[in-house]
Amino acid sequence: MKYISSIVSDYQNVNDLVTKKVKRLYLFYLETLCDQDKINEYILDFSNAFKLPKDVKKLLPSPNLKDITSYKELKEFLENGFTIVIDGNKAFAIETKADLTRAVESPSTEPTLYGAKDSLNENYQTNLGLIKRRIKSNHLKNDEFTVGRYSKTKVSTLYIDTIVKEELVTEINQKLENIDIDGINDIGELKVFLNKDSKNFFPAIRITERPDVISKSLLEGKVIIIMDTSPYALILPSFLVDFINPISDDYTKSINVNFLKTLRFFCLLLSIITPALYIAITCFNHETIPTNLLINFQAQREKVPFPSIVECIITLITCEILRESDIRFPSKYGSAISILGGLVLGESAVSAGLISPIMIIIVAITFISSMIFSDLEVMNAIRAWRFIFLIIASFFGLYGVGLAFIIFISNLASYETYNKPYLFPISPFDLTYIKETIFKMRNDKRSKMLSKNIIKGEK
Amino acid sequence: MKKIIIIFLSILLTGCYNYNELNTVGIASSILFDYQDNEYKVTVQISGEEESEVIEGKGKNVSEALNQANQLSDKMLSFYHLKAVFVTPSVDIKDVLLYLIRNPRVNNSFYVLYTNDAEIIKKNEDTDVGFDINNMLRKELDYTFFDISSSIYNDNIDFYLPIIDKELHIEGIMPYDKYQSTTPLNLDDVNIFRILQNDIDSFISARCGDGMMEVNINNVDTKFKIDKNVEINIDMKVSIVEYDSDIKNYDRDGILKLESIINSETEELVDEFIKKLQDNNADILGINRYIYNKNHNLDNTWKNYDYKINVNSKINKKGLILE
Repeated sequence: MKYISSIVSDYQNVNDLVTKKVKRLYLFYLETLCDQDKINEYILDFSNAFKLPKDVKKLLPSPNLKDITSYKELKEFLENGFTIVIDGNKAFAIETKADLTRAVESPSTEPTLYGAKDSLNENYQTNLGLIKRRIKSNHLKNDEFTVGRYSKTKVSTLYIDTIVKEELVTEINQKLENIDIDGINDIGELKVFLNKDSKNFFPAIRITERPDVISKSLLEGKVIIIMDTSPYALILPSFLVDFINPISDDYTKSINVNFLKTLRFFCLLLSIITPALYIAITCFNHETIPTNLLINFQAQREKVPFPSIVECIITLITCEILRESDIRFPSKYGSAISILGGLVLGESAVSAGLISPIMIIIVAITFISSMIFSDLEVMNAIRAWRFIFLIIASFFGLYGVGLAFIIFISNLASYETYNKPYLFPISPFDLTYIKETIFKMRNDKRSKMLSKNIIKGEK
Repeated sequence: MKKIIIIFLSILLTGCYNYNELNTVGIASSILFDYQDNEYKVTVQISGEEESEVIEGKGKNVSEALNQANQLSDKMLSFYHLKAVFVTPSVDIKDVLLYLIRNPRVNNSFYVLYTNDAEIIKKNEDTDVGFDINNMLRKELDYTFFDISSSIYNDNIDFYLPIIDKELHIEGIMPYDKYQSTTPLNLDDVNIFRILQNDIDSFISARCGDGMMEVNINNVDTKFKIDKNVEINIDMKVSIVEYDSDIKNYDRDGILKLESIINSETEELVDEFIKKLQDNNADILGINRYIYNKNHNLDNTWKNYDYKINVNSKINKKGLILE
C-alpha cells in the first residue's frame, strides 16, 4: 500500500499511466509501453476468473515475474514496460512489454554480396538473440548496466570469458559505470565516454549493425557493447586494419580476395594523397612527370583564373557539400541531387573555365577511392588528413608531401586504443592477426595481443 | 598551443620559395648556343600544346644571354624538360657544358648536338625541335648529356657530339679532344663506331665477287684486350639482307667464305676508324680506360699502341643467298 500513494503523486501528470483494481490487487502500467494482450493473458484473465490465493504469484502464468524490493526498482520496472501488481504490502512486476521495434531487416550501412542478411534493430533482446544464435556457448557472458539519469538505457557488454583478456573487460565496465549523463539516445554517444582522450581523427571504436561481424569479433577476443534503442553495436578495441576490410572477405576465396585487400590499402593512401601530389607536381616539382603530360596540364589550365591550390580546395569542398547533401536529403530525391552535382561540377564548371578537366579527374579518383570505406568516421578522418596533406604540399611541394606522410604515420603509430597500438598488427608485427585482416590465410591461432587463449579449439 | 603557433609560423615563413604556377612556366625543349660579334646568342624554343614559341637572348656569357631570354619571355623559363642543346662551331663548348653541369635546374637526359646552322631552331619553328631530336637520337645514337658529363670528369675518355643538318638529320659525329673539336666523322664511321659500342642496329656492306652483300648485325660483342698491343675482338652474329653477287655458295664452305669476307671487310673498316681517331687524338672509345685498368698508369697512351683487330662473324640467317 505504501507504494500506491508514491506512484499516484509521482505520476500525477503522466496520462498514459493506467491504474486498475482487480479484486484485492492494484495494477499499474504505462499503456504506451505495455502490450494489452499480454496484460490480459498473464494477469487479468487469471485474476478475474479464479479465486485469488494468498500468494498471487502462484496463479499468474507470466514467464518473467520479478519481486520488487524498493520503490526505485518499482519505477524502473514500470518505465520498462512491466506491469506492477501490488498485493497488500507485497509488490511484483510482470513483463508485458509491447513490441515497439521494427522487424529484423537487411543491413543498410554494411551491405555485402555474400553472408548473412540480418542486422541488429532497436530491441535489446532481439539483438542479444541474434548474437546468441551464432555463439551458442555458456562462455558468452554479458554484463548489464543502466546509463542515463532520465533515459535509464540498458547497456550491455558481451565477451567470451575463455578468450578475452579480463583487464580489457574490467576497464570497459569501469568506464560504463562512471558515465554520468542525463540521457543517451544512441550507442554512438557512448564512444565519447569510452575513448575520452582521443584527439586523433581516426576512430578507435568500430560500430556495426551486423551480427556476423559481432560474432567474429567476439571469437577474436574483443568486447562488444550493445544498447537498448540502438541498432548498432560497438566493438572494442578496434585497429586501423579492422576498418578497411569488410566481413564478406571471409566468405570468398582467399586467392582472389587478397588482391582486393591490397587494393583497399592502396585506396586509403590514394584518397588522402592524390590532391596533394597533384599540387606538388604542378606547382613545385614539374620535373617529375613526362613532358607531354605537363604540357597537357598546362594547356588545360590556360583559362582557369585561380591558382591550382584554390581550384583544388574549391572542388574538394564542393564535393563534400554534395556528399553531405546526398546523405541528408530524402532518398527519393537522391538521383536529382546526383545529376545536379554531376552537371555543376563536371560539365558546367569546366565549360565556364572555373576549373580544369584534370582537377575533375583528380577529385573523382580521390572520392571514388574513399568510397571503398563504409565507416563514416573513417571517411571523416581521411578528409581531414587530405586537407592537411594538401596544405603542406601547397607550401613545400613533394618535400611537403613527404613531411606530411611522416607526420601521418607517426600520428597513427603513436595512437593507442585500450593500451594497444592502433597500427597493430603492422606495428608491432603480428603474423596471426595479419592472417585474419591484411591477408586472408589459413589461421589456427588467435592473436596474443587480444586473447589469453591463443590456440583455437581450446575451452 | 605554442607548438601549433611555432609550426604554423615556420610553414608560413619557409614555404613556397620555389612555388611556380604551371601557367607561368615556359617549358624549354631546345636551346641553341651561338657566338657572334663577341657575344653569346641563345635561341630558346618553348613547348606548347599547339604551337611553340622561339625567344632569343644575347649576352657576354652564357648566363647573361639566358637571363636576357628569360626577361624577354612572358613566362619563367624552365629547363627541367630540356630535350636538345645545339652548339655552333663558334661556341666555346667548355663554357656551355660547364654552365649546364653547374645549373641545378637542368635535367641531364637531353642531347647535346653540333650544328653548322645557327638558325636551325628558327627554321624549324613549326615543329618541336627538341621532341623530334629526342625521338630520333633515342634509337639512333643514345648519347645524352649525362654521358658527356661523365666523360668530362673522366680523363681517360673523350666525348663526341652528333652533327645535325638543317633538316634535323644526323650527318655524322664530331669527336672532341678535351674541349677542342677535331675532324668530323661521317655516317660510315658512325656505323663502325656503333659496332665497337656493341650497338646491334648496325650493318656492314662488303664487296662479294662482282656484287655487294649487306648484312645486319643481330648480335655483337666487342672486347678490348691490352697486352703488348691493343687487341680488339669482335664477335658478331649477322643476317644477310642484300646479296647481288654471282657467287652461289649454299654449302658450308661457301658460308664460311662469306663469313671471312665479312670479317676482313670489318677489320679493314675498324682499322681505318681507329687511325682516324688517332689522327684526331680523340679517344671516344675510351681505350685509355682499359690501358689504365691493366697497367695502372698511362705512361703509354692509346696512341702509342699497335692495334690488332679480330672479327669473328657467324651468319645465322642466310636469307637472300638461297634461291
